[in-house]
Amino acid sequence: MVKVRNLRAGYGSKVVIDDVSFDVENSKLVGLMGPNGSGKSTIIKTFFGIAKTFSGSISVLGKNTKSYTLDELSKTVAVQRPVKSGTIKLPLSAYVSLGLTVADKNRLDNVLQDFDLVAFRNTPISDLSDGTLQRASLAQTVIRDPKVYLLDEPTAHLDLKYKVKTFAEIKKRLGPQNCAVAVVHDTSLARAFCDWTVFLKDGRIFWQGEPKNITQELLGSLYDLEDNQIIL
Amino acid sequence: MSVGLLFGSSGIGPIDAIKAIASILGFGNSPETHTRIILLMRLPRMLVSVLSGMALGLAGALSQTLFRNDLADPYIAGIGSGAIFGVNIALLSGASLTILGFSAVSVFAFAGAVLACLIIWLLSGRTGSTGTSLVLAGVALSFVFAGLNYIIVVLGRDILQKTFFWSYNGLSSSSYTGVIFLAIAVAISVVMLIGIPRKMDAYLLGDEQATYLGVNPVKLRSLMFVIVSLLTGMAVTTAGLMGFVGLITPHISRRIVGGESRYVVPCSILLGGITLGLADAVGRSIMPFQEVPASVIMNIAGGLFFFYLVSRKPSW
Repeated sequence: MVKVRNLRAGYGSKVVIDDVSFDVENSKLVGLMGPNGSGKSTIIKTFFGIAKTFSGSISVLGKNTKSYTLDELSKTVAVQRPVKSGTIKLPLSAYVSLGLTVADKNRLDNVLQDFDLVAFRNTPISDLSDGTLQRASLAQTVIRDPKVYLLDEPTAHLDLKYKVKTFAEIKKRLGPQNCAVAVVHDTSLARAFCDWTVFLKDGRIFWQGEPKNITQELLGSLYDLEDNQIIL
Repeated sequence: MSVGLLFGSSGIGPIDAIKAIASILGFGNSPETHTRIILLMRLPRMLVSVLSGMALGLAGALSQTLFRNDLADPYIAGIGSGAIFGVNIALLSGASLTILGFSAVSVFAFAGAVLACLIIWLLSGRTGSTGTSLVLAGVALSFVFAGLNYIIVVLGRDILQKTFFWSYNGLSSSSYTGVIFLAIAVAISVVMLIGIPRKMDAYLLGDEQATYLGVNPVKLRSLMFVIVSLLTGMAVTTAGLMGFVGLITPHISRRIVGGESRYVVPCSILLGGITLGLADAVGRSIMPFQEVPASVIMNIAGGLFFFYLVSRKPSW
């Protein structure tokens, strides 16, 4: 469903990721892992041209992302990235509804329920806690009912309960026509929910495989840590 | 708003004014001077103050979105000092052309306002910069224009006084031409904004988030720049410099209707019209046979009201 092929991308003239290839098959959740600055977010940003493709390609549903119009692409691929709500007085319900092209009260109510946001529906997003804002941004992503989910650290600000719940909500939505890529830092979450993991280091693929095959040695060499510093 | 018709410094009291309006509508009789003052002076002036207030309220709501800054107002892109620059150039060169019923001073003021907006827009397109750096560029441009204005004022005698009068007393020369052009500018802007408020909400989240939501931020920014410069340029041309309306109305609107652009935009238009119409009416009736410019009323009353709002609840 998503094919990344020999992707070389970055910002301006700076190359951040190089020769990255992996597949995301239908109904699968792929975990992107690796140290800070290894290029995980850049891969996600490349889908919409926020990061520039120098060579290689990304295809979604068999079609190069560059051949999509912005409108088509935004209806097929939903990106969840960290939001800064600053002083924005938009009520949460309106913020979540930005994921809809036509107002749909039923869908809104359901999604707000799924992410425990009903109590905050009229709260301006500037007044939300980091965790609640994160759940709101996830709600905005899933309300779009996209073919492809791209989630950049979807559970960064969430407590253990919501971490598990979030991945469960995402998995629930992965039908035969959908797939997802999520940046994850937590190996146990990856093991519990991902079908495949791609490890990046310094902008290149370091390892990829099923999460059950992640070993202490692998993490040690990926993060430059001694074995006794890692609790798996 | 009709208060503007009843009061004024020209010595026709509210009762005479009501009689005059009645006679215009075909009821009773009233001295011709009275009906003339109402029809040719007070009515166009009231319409210009209300319409320019609407224009500035809308331009203010757009500016705060465009720059993603709550302190932005329509003059932030250097439009105010750009307009004064235009006025100064017109006065210095002694140009006497008239375009579509507008004097050289008005035409140059419009050109100066649009020029300022154009420079900031080109800059944002070139550097891809948004938000704070764009605001700073606008402030910087204001300083450049202010410097140039000083030089012109030194070069030409009497210019300072004329410019000063123009800046504050723009409404006293209101005409139906101004009414028509303002009405057209507001109408065009409103039509261009159909379906846009949802995009404005997405845009507020930043260029990147807007893109993921299917909104092209560059296109939207250009559209908002065009509308802001059209509206503010037209308001400056017909009503002079009216600070504060554009800053304060979106804030008050957000307090009343919440943060969604689809409510903030119409509410700002409405409040802008009411505020400026009222400020002008008050300014004309507060002292006998002496006008206080609407902008002065706006600055003092609006400033105090805003101060009250801000001091009542620190964060909003």
